[in-house]
Amino acid sequence: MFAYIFIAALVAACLQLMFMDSGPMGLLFRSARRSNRMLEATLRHVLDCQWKGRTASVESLAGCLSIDSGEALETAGRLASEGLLSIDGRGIGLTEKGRLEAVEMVRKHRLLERYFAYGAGLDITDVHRRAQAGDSPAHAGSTEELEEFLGYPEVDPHGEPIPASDGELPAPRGRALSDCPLPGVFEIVRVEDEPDSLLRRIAALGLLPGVRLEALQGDGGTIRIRPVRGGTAGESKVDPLVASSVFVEPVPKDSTKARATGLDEVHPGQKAVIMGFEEALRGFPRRRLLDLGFTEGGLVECEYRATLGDPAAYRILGALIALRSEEASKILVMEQARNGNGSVTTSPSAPAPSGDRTDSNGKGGGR
Amino acid sequence: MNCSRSSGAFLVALAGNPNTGKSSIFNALTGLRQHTGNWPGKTVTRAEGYFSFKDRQFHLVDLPGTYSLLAGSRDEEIARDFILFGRPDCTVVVTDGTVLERNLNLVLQILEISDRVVVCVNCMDEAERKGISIDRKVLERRLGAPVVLTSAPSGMGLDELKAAVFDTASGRRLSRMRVFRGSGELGAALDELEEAIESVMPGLPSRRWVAARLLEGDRRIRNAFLSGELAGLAGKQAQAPESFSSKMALDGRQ
Repeated sequence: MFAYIFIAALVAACLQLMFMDSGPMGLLFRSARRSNRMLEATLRHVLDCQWKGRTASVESLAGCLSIDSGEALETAGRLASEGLLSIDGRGIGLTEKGRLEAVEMVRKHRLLERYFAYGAGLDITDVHRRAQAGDSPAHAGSTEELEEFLGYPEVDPHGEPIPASDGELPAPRGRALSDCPLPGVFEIVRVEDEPDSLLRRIAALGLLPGVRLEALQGDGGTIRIRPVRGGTAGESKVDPLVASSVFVEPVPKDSTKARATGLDEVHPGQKAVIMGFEEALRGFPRRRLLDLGFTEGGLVECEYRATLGDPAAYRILGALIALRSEEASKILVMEQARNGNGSVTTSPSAPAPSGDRTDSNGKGGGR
Repeated sequence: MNCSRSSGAFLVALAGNPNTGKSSIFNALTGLRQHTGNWPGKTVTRAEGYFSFKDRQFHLVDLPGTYSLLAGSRDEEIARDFILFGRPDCTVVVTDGTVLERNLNLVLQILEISDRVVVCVNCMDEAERKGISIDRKVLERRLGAPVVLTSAPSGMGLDELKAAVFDTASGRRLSRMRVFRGSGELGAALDELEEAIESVMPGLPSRRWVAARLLEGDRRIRNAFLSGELAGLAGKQAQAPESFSSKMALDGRQ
């Protein structure tokens, strides 16, 4: 009799452990979730291949997901049986139904990456993993709400285009650095985000979207680069693999883009004219800066910087605004020459309690 | 969000950037006849009070301080919804005379959605200390709305402010509504949308502003449009916009 009770208790305990999320035995539960993520990643991979003009195969899938071909084949097979994929001698393709689902997933994935990079401030090498894990920002519900919150961005942090809700995909920008005529000045608009190891190498060299650099032919097929804006200081050598994974657009020597710097590089006492914003700045922070007066053609002066250089106070439209370097770097400006006689004008500060009002960046009304 | 309007009392909204002395104006006008609560469904405090002028009662509602109506934060949503849907008889925009240019951003935005605006240029005592002088008449002419210079601490201009509010609320004096035209592609897209809006909601005030918000993908305005809430402002018979799809608005965006 006791034996039955014992066995029942043992079975109950095992079942509980197997279905618990945490704990060493939460296998069933966790593996169910993981396989869902793999199914999603598979759909995304096949669609991405299509967009890039490549054919997805069991091998490419295995490489992308870091699993063995057996598992890859099984995963693809499951999706095929659900009518989302078609597998034949040529490779893996999407059915119409599969395409719709895949587009939605890519949309959500890239929007999440964007959120993690610019909203949560994560490193670009981490955003893919976090978006993959299915972490979702607490205050954004649907994909549409997330898109609105982010200000309807067009690209993810790697520069990959974000498809519209109807599946329309803007053409990917940029030409591989290895294909560009050298020497020249370029701006990075897109980087290869797979495989992970390649992205890490690219990030380690500081070659991220938005960085502007001078490129010259080096020895043995390498390319010498020197960042002009952003990136890691000093010259570096880029091997052919990295050069073919970094996509750039040329920056004409005399264009305003070539001459513009970030507001964070303006020294106290210097004035500058606002040229615009970086693409990375969208949604609420962008709107907030516009409202405070950081509009094209506007005149801004750096009044002082904190001891470590960050944050700094800027005079705009008569008011003093504090910005961190991270925010100021996304405001593109052209510095003005100092006054002819070398003097620097500073605003008088009233001794009374109501002196100069320093507003923090929209903290009064913002999130 | 709807204020119960006691018979005969005018509803007046008090808007403005943070740090403009808006609270001082509010206190100066209402004295002790005020109380605080919350905006419905939000945690943002809401101050309301009363004042009388020329035998009329004025119910004053203090909106959260905002730099604009468009950023989409909670405070901006409350302020904009109240001015647009709450339909106050007058909206007073309090500005800081020492940083007038930046403050005008909000003034101009409010002039896009209301013709019952009074511009209050406050902190004139400080402006004088800083050597700033303001030409009230020119400002009034350029803005197309009554302008009152005030200094809350000394009480300067408060009677003129009450008079301007009275004139505006009673309809004796209206402000000139501003319309953002836009140029090039944007202007053309706005033209198209405006026409479509007019066909389903004839007589809707600030049509072009609504068109611009739809183009931006502003969800609150889009929902208000589709639900017919906006139509309620048109004041004329307007049919539900079944023929108008939000896809059209999104296409315009692309």
